[in-house]
Amino acid sequence: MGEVIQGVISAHPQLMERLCNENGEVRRFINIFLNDEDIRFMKNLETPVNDGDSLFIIPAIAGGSVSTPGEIIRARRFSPRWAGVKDEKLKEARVFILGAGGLGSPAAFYLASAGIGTLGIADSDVVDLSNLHRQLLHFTKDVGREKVRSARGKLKALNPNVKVRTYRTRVTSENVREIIRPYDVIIDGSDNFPTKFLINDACYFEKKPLVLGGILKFYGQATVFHPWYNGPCYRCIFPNPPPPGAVPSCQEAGVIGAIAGIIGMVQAFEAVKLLSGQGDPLIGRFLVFDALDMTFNEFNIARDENCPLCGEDASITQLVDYEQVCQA
Amino acid sequence: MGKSFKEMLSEIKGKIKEVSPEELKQRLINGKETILLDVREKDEVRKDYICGAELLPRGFLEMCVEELIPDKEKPIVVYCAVGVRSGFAAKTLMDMGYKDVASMRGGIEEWKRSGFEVLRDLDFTREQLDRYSRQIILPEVGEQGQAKIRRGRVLVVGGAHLSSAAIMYLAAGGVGTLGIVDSHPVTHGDLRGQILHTVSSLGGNRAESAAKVVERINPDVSAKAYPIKLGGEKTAEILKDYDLVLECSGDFHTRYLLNDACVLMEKPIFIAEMAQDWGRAMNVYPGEGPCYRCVFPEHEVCDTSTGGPADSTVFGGMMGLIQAAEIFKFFLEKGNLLKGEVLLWDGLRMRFQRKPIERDRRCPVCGEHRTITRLVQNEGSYEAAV
Repeated sequence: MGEVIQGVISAHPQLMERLCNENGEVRRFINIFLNDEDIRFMKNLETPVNDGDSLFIIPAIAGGSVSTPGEIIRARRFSPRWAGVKDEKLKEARVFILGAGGLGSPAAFYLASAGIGTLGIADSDVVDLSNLHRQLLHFTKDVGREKVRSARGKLKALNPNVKVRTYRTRVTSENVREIIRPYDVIIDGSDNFPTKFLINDACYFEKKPLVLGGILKFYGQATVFHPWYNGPCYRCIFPNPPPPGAVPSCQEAGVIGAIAGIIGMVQAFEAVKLLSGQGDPLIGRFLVFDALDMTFNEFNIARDENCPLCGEDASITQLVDYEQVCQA
Repeated sequence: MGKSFKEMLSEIKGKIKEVSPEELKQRLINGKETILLDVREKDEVRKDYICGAELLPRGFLEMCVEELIPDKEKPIVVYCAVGVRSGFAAKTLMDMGYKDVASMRGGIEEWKRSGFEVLRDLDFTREQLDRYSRQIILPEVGEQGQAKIRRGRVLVVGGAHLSSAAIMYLAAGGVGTLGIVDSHPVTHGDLRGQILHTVSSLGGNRAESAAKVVERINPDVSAKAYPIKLGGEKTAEILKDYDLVLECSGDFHTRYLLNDACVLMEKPIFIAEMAQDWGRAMNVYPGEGPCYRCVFPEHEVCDTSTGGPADSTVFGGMMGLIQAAEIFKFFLEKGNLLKGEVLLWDGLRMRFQRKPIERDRRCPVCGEHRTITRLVQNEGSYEAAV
């Protein structure tokens, strides 16, 4: 494996900085999959590689700031298969959506449409003209309005029975646990790593399932983190956020709106599956979408015993605020 | 003692190949092989450029050209305003190892004097550049790509759950013309999965309700509602104004009718289908691959009853969204389109799969012995074939 990686780097020297740290070690926010297994759970760089094997190099995607398209990750299956679930159950359900943006928009629309009783939406931003090509909750006349107000208007117009609770605030280590406590499922629609790690940690401490999504350019990722149900958490896969210097620029790399729609809808569907107990949720499976090729790949992700958050000797026992290096 | 501009110019003129606008025109007509490179500045290109040209200002040439044109064997013709900058650029490309480079004599000015056409479609307002900025920033899009999206004309058939999200993203992304066909009113049960409609549009026609929302999302888009049931010659009349059809009717009769109409009129048709908890996306490129009848000669009997909270009536929009992404790629001429394959989606397992499909020689609309050759008045061609 080590030789293969060396070969890749010598053929594409520009990848060196992205893949490795200054000591020549593979960066922790990069995951390498041989076929569909993470090499960290095999023999790492010593893992033997055979002809015909497929190698995937997969960085984390936050949405706002990563430079390379990514792909990713399956573990033990979660399928309670509760029979006879009716819409009534969804009326009692409460889903929290972090962000009323590219992913939050389709997720919120479809959850309201599915008849979820209570939706919580947190976003501190106001609507900008450049949001409109992908953030469907906001129309032209909403430019300058608070995103959460614009969101509430659209959701109530679609389904007046849905309770919409809005939080016009930036989610921080101070408020996040309290905000998510009343909800059954949490949907991540954030676009930066500090927030993704914060919500991951908060969901672990509050024992909530987290439906993760990420979009960039023509690519998308989605999975369900539920360490309390034997699934992995974000830190099992990416133990720490990428260091500020590893990300070339904070300028958004752009995205095609429909890709946000696809990933946001996957997130809403996963939330409904978790609530209704129907189907197999994406726990332990990392879905990676490439719209340019129209390919969907799925990778196994498993709990890491050494995870700093949900592992046996966890070192993270309280919430950490990472520096907001990238305002997306 | 350094060289003067004139000395430099005459020196490079002796080293580079030049082509006339007529020769270039002929090369562009004969084959798509030649890459046309416009090296003028952004404000010059905004006024006009030659259709098909890659835009790369000379100041960024050395830095960006290898990403834009990785194959150094490909024939390239460079042009600028009058043929001076393109001469220097051609020399630079030769120095970088490009094997077949020429500069167009007289530049775009001479091209226009020769009576050849130019495109003037980069006239975006500040507001539009801002609105689409996160799309334009993608190397696969750029202002030229945005202009292609704006020229795009899509007829969406069906204004319910299959197409709701697709219509919204097509509008938000700036597809210039959207036609929406649906003869049904918005009903209460419809609001499941139909994120396009609202309780205030209950009772109104779906196509009209959709067109109103499109206007609110993006005033740049020209939305036209067809509150009618498609059939016979009327179908052809409507279709002729569009580049492609997004088939989201959820109705077999309409789907076969549109498949036939599109094959006969040689227009691509992108089909989105949902049944209970699975979805299917298939695209027909008439003449290039199978049509819907080749793959599904008879319609299946399928259970359209609802299957609980996680069923297709709510999440039916997925296949429409997939097709919306395909439509952007189609207009941008980027990426690999779904050709010769269908995409299947199992929502409960959240699995997507692609399966190969093939043309059927016995197909009544695109096979060897065709029995469906025209669209008939008032009736779908599906009946006409029988």
